[in-house]
Amino acid sequence: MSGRVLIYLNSLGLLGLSGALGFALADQLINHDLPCPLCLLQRMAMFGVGIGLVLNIAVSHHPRHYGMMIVSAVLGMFIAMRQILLHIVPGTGAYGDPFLGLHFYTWAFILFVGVIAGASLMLLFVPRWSHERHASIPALGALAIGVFFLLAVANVVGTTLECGAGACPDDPTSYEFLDRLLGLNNRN
Amino acid sequence: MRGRPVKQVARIAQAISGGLVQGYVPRLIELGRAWQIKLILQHRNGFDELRAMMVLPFLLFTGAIAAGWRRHAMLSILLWLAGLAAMLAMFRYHVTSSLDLAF
Repeated sequence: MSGRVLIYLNSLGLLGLSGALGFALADQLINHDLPCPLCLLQRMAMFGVGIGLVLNIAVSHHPRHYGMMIVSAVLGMFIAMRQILLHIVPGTGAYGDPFLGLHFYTWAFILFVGVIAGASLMLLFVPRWSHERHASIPALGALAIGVFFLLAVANVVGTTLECGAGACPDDPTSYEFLDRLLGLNNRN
Repeated sequence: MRGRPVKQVARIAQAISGGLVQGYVPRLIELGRAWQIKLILQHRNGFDELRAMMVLPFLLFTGAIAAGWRRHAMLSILLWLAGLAAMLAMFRYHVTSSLDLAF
């Protein structure tokens, strides 16, 4: 598998991850489905996975970058599993609306399992690792990183508006920090 | 005769220093401790808030992405590690309730 093909595979993976994060953000903005702390932690784990992909695209192919992806995905998987277990008993409710029959945290769990499988396969089937730095970043790679970076900035802004410089409420109903700024709500 | 004023000065100095050590210094330490405890109690909620700063891991990961994009691999990895540590701290902060499970 040539270096170029690896870069394109990583770029497609990053675009896929951005698609999942973008969908969650669109749901937040359009349906006013505010993310809970565990939901935000799952998003963070997705960004952690994406940083490994960014380094594979922009710097060089290195097993360490795939290791970063696997570590982030394992952590994200545990967080998603925790949320699934919170609602696994019938009658204990759920958080958010389901998408294609499954809740977002269940989809996140599946995504993290897929990331672990994909990164492990890459580690198994890449015959030898060239640690040389890439000469340049291809257009598809730059696009993928650009979109991913913008999503990260959007999440920084969204989380600040929702939680300010502190802890997020367990069951958020509004952008509390924004409300406080506008004088709509006095939080103790 | 020459030794008498010296002895008197020494006695006064001893009394003052003794008084300081035995009286004022412990009082000052006590006051300092009380003030410190008051400060901690007053700002404990603020410290807790900052410790649970949810946006911090996002900020660190955004920095890591930017560093990776600019091809600073080591900086990116360091920021990623810091973000991961912050994430674990947030997870610990928010996971407080026990799971309602029975097998």
